[in-house]
Amino acid sequence: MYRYILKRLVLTVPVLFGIATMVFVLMFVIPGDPVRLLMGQHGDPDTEAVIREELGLDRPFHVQYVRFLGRLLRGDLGRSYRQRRDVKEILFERLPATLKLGTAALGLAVLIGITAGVLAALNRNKPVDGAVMVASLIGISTPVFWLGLMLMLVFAARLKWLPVAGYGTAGDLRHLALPAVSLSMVYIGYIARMTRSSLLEVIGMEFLRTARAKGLGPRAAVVKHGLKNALIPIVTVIGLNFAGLLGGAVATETVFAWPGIGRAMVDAIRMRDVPVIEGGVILLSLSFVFINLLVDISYCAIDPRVKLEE
Amino acid sequence: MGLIRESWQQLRKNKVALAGALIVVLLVVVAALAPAIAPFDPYEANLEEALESPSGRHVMGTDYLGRDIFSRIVYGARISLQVGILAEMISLAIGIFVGAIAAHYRGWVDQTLMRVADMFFAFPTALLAMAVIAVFEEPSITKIFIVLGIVNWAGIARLVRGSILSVKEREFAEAARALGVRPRRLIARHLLPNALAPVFVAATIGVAGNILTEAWLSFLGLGAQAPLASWGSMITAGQPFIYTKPWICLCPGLAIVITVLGFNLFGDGLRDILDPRLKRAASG
Repeated sequence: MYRYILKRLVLTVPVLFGIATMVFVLMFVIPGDPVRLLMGQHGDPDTEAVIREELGLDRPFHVQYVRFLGRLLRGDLGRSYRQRRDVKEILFERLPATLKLGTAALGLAVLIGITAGVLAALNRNKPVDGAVMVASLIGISTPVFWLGLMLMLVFAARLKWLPVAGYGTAGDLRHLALPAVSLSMVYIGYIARMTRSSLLEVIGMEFLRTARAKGLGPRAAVVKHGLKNALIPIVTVIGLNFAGLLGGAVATETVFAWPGIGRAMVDAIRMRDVPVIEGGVILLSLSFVFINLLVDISYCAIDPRVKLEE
Repeated sequence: MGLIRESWQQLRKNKVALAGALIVVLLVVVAALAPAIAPFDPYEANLEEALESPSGRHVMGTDYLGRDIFSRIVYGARISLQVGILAEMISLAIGIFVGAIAAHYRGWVDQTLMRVADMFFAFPTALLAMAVIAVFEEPSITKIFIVLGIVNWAGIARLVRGSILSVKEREFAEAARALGVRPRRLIARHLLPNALAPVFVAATIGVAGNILTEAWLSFLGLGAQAPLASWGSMITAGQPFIYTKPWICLCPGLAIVITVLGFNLFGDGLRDILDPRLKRAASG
């Protein structure tokens, strides 16, 4: 078991390295002089030259690349062009808000998604099944930012049940409600569908007949034994769609003025604050890789065959 | 090819795929015939008629510049379809190429290519697309679909590789090889057609995803620039008026939902059609 985990961990290193490199190359290669972006249209060439030297932007590609990697390894994500702060400080300041939102959305999505999927599988081809599948499909097809706006319109503006936007105080759930719901919709759709199909596949299999023979009623058998075995694809979907959750968080944070990393990224993008963009992408990719690692490791726990294979 | 005729028959039987296909076809028709269908010029500003509610004259009302929303939505279909499909074609081109090479040559070529694919997979691609486009000084639709195409090739590559690998082992590939068919021909004529079925499904769903991403990018101002009528930017324009004139945001959003739904339905249906046949073929 530990060798499996170690192996997975080691494999992530080249991936992370590759990502960092890609980010750097992309930011370097794309047209658009960061110094000119910083200065605006009315910078004079002398000041520009000074700034360029200060930021190390006048050095050749490989020198900048090595410095970039060196900084990364030390955990330094650079300094923002726009704000007089370290990128790390900016991003980590916003992290709790995004974590709160992401966790809430994930929790909702897993809870509602799996329940809906189980219901659909148990009532195959009956109205419940159709309803769940249609709702899931619509959920997947809806743009997150628009959904947020519509929910805001209905629940905050018209019905006045919930506040419109913003973070509220730390323990305030009412501000969290709408953003979490709109972010979770897409996820619910994916999870429900995958739960249903995975469960249906598993239902036909041998061990369920054994469970039934043991005397368990059909529903209990499905839920107890079927679900556990169906979990692998479901967990996979959860992990794979995590990147989507991160992307969706960006949209949700923008629409609801939620002070998270996503919104920091959008602001940075609008203001062409390259170090923040770089740092943000790296940080988010890192978390994605990490989540995938967790998913891989959880395969071990869920399916002992994986452990034995290694 | 017999494959196509059989697929067509299956398509007519599968309601989900049919519904999706209908929506997609409708969309293509609307986009193609936009000048004929749109009652007004989508770019013509008419401040006297600004912010009007839906009425007989303006079926979906007007925006803050007095432009007819329905006409803008009709023209917006062109942008969504263009970006969605062109981006996917780029992803397909890169993905099929890489996947086929990886599957055929195996060994370190395969390993390296798949590691690279993993890296692209690990990127939150929407974020990457945003970042890349933002650094360009003038965003545009062309840049969007090129970037989206490049950023999304990894999924297709993996699929193609997996598909080819599983198909490679089967009898007819052996037979072809025994007959002395050379590698490049082997890939093109025998392996690829069978491997491509799941790719069609993924591509259709990919188009759906691209349309959503384009909408998001345009919403942020990183996509179609004014006065172009992208559904995403229409939603942005409607945001200041969302509480008083909600239809300005509502209608483009619904257009997006219906469009993406159409492609997703079609992709789902395709998957249902192609899957059981593949299973039958494997046992037959």
